[in-house]
Amino acid sequence: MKNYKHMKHKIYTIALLLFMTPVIIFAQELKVSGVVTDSENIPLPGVNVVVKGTAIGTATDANGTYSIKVPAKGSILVFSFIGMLDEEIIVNDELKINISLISDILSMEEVYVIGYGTVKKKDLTGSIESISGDKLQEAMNTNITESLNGRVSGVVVSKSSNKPGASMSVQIRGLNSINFSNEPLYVIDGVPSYSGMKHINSADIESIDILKDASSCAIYGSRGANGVVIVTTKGANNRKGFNIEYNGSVGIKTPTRIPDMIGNYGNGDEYVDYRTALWKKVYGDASLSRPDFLTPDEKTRIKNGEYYDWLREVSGTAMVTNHNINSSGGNESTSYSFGLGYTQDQGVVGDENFERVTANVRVEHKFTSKLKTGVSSYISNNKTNHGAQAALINAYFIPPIASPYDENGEYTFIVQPTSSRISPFFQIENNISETEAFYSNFTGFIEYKPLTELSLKSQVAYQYDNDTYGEWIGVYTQQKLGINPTEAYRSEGKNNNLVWDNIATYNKKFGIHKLNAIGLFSMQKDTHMGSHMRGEDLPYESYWHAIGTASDIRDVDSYYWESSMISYMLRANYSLLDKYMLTVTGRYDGTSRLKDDNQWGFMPSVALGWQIKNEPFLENVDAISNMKLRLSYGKSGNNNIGHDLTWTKLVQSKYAFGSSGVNGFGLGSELGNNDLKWEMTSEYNIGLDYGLFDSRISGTIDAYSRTTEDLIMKRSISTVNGFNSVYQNIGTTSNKGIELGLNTVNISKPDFYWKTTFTFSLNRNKIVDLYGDDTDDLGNRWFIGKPISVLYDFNQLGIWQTEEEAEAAKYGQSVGHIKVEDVNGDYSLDEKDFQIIGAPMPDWTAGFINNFKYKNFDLLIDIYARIGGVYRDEFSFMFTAWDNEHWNKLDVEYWTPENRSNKYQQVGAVSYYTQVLGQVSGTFVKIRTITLGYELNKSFLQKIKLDDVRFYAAVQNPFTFTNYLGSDPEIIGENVYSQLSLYPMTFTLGLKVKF
Amino acid sequence: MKRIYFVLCMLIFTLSACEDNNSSRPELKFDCLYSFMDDMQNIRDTSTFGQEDGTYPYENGILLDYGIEDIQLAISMANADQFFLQYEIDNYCIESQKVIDDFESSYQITLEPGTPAELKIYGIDGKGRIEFGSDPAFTGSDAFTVESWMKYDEGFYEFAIGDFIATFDNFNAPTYEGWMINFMGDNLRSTIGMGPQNARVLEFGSIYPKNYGSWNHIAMVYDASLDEQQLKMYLNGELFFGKTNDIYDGAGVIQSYQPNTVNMNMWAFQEPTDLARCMTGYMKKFRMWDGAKSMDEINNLMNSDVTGTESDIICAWDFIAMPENIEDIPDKTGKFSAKIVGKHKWFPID
Repeated sequence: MKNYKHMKHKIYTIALLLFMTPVIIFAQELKVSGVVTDSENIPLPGVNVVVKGTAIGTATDANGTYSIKVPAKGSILVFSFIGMLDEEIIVNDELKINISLISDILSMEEVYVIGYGTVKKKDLTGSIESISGDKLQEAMNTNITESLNGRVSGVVVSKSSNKPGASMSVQIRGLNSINFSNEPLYVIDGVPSYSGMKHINSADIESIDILKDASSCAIYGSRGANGVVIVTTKGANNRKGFNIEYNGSVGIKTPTRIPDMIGNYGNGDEYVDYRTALWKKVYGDASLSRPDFLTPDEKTRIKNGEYYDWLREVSGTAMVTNHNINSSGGNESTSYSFGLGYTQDQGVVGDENFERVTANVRVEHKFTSKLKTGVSSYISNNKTNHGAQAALINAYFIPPIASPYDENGEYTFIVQPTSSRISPFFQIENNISETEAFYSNFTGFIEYKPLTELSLKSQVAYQYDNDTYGEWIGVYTQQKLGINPTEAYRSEGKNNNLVWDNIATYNKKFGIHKLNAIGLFSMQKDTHMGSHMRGEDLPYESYWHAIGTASDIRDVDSYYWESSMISYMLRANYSLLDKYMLTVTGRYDGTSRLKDDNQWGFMPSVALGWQIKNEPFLENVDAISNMKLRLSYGKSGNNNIGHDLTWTKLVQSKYAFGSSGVNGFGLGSELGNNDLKWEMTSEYNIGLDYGLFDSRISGTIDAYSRTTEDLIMKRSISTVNGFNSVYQNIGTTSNKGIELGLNTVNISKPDFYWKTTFTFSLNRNKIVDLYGDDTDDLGNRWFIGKPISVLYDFNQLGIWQTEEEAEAAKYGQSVGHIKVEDVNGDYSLDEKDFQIIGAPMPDWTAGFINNFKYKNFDLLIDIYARIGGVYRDEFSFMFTAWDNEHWNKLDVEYWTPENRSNKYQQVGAVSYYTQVLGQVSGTFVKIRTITLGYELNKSFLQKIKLDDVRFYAAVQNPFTFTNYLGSDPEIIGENVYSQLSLYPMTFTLGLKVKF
Repeated sequence: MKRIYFVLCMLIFTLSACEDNNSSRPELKFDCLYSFMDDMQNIRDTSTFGQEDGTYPYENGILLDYGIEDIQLAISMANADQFFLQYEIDNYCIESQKVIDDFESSYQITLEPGTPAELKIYGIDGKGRIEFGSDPAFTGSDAFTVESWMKYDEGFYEFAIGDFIATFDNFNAPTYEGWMINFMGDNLRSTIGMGPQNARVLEFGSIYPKNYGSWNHIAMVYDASLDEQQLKMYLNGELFFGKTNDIYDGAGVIQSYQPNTVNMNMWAFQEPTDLARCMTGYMKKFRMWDGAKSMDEINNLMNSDVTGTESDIICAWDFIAMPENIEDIPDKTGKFSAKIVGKHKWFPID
């Protein structure tokens, strides 16, 4: 114990020296006492009361009273209790401190970041949701973007793959643009960009605020049309003293829901039966005597029962590791925070891996009560090993009768002499693709308060990111088939983003009037550059690092472009009697991406709030603790369009001259259009914030109607002038939807607490107009009145059954073939029989999160549902429709005369219209996370001088309910050649310690 | 705590990952081995061998004996428990049936030239075919028609694709060139090479007639000038199917038919460049036309003869009587000559 104390002292000393903020306290002990109650004035027994940063603590008795000795004035008392928000009180002259704890549900005092400022939830007039860093950590996702699903209504995050480091896209309230990005604007510590959140460690995040309606997004003007995601990293908090928090976990990943291929689990006889049936049906009984039906080695394996489950051979367990240290502290004038994070997320197939190191520092210093300055930086370096292309798909294709080994027990390249699919183990070894990315964000500000109510702030922010992608394709790969020369590819890109914001904030309460006004002048410039090259036939295994040694170097190119923006913005929040609220925002943006008069645009918004609870007729209705109506309208634009859309461009071409030709330039086929404007979104939003029974039940209801006009579409024109297309503002889309948020405290007892959070989102998207003439665009599958993206195809009615043989013959079909709908009844199945089958977007989504606490134990159960939507899935199509004589396919109920499946055709039937098997329902329900935690007793912690210690064990993706045949219904439609992945289930053990 | 976690993990893992992995192999059936041995022995014992009409050649009798030995070997293997998959046994039985068919087709009949007869080509395993020669006209153009009478018996093709008539070439040029009338799975199909993108085809099919042993008239018509259903097939004068050209390259450019540029051979019962695509069957009349015939015209052609002097005819053969020389069978236009290669037989028409 003595040694421990000595160590602890040492740690503190070093830490204090490191951060140069020694805190020396000389004071006299004081005795503080009081009563702790809930919001209904009922005394709370068992509330922990500790002096922050010390081992001094006590608990309230049966009457809710406590008594504690604190070292000196200025000490901080922390009151904590299950189901209640922690409360911190600074001890000054008053030694009798009675306190009422607030239920741990959305509080009206909660602060939302709304861009260039903050607002309390009670004063909010727009549709904004906030998610705290703690909730993000609770989700335990390497990429925090994924954590928004089910936690924020109106947001749908789509993953491209389950490979570590895979990219994700975010849609807020549906699709607006047909041809350009629908990704929201990310504002990370004040820097607006489209670089996403993959670089950021969840442990470094204070909060993510999602601005959804146009009135909220109007503050970002021409970039707000797709919503805004404001990320605030942990910063200096002006708290005295010093604290450190460690949060770490180690997890084991294992593939789950591995698709059921024929003959897996060592049941290879099943595959032999399938192959026999296939060959007999397609090639006739005699074909079984062909030498390639089964090779001698395959026959031997069948005889010996030597079968290989290729998916389980190439996949395995992997580790997920997270270590994060965050510290913060300060004194009267200076405060700081510092964080370090390390994440490694290995994949379950081959060398797939994502490794990220993050560091952030933030320092703020008050020169005087009027002058403040601060700097912050966020640095993230990550490396992604994307794994080998085609390795997993080969494991799907190769049947269980093929062996990965040769006669010496070594891996062999050709595992099936009769097939073009090579060993996935060689593919993993010889096809490497990696991305190394660096992301940094630096900000510095100075803030001057000439008056109490007026602050002038100038902030410069700089974001820099780069990425280098390299790919190596060795000889012994699927691409090179063991005979063609090696190939290497390298590309790199750099993005610089400089923002200068000058903000004036006026905050004043005049009796019953309250005003918060913000004025902004902002300048931003971003530059983008990159290059790429490809080399073939490299003399040695230099990967992509020595492309210069290649015999043939090609695809060499580079690019540079820049864009800039100047903005003026004014926002005023006015509140009367804390009952009536008005927010008016106007932003005037000028962009380099457009021309002439269209370079500048004004985007206004107005929002009204009515705190009905504060009206006399509701004031005394105890059952209703909060009731606020919100109404808003706003306009915002989409600036995430090409920087050169207005240009008529020269394009490079090669003229035949000499042996290698010469470069020349000529006018491109697209005519520039100086009249292009932003795609502009306007939106009405009506919302209700409610709280019942002392906020035991609380939440929000929002309904919106959004219209995006002046869509930028490419239009064909007569080729008389040498151009064949021009971009024009000609289309309109709309999104209408409902969002619900519901928080309930189901049980709140001293020892047991159960809270439920429910979110629901429903969005209906449609094309209102395309080219102004009320006609569909069949070529692009765009239909007026229908969603932007639809599946336009045959409609499967089933399988032609035996009794339908005569009818099937009229269509040239056989029994066991796929039966599709003959829409026009002409007995000819062609494009005229196509119909809209559905849209690849969910009908609705919901999140259902339950938190339980029993004494020191806590349990989290996180459920996410995505219902509806029809997606085109290449995986399902490929592995149910294809009947390759040497490959494997999914083990589903294929039609036989005895087993009259009405979904999947007969094996070897050579049926047409098999593309309908790629039409897949997007419905699923997932139990995403179950976490069981245990928090050490405060009394014990006081003895070992720690603030908080929590152990937890979690399992991610334990249960998924879906009809999807692939591994993960959340990534339906993944590219089977480059992104195919398995679905991991992760068991994690974690520890969180606060000093 | 550990125990709770372990139990929880195991429970979740078990519930979420349990699968059925039962497997059982059905009992092998050897009946056909004994049956074929009896049949072959019986055929050998009751057949007359010699060199004259009405007998079977001695060499075919020897081949029949080899077949009997093979089936006896299979029975020995069965008794020695050497088989473990049913298909291995079935293979012996299928081979035995082939031996019997081969033997029976060797029955000797001599026909005088001009004797009305039906021509059977034993194309399976590449044993026989008709070669019509090599000419750019055979490769077709933006509009052409191929029509013929054909007949086949059950099991008339064994490989993935069985070619009836073809110029198709997927070996000698980067693009697929030429055309073919072929069988695959349950379907009778028309396939034409498309380009300029490599390795593309416009192809469609419909279930082939199962009236084994009866004649069917087929016609493949290609007309690039149409907006839809550029590729059509007619069966016995009725539209069998129509297929609209939906072949686009990656840039969305519609592809067009690619006539042969390298190999301009036209063969029946075997593909000129992919010898494994073959079939066994009968051919009666075969004609190729420069231009797309309408359904009415095809109905007329189906029920009439041609002279070879028609303005739009490319070539025409009638295989309805024993020719003078099977290696030089002139067509009706007088421009081309066909030859029968490999195993075939002329059956007199009663």
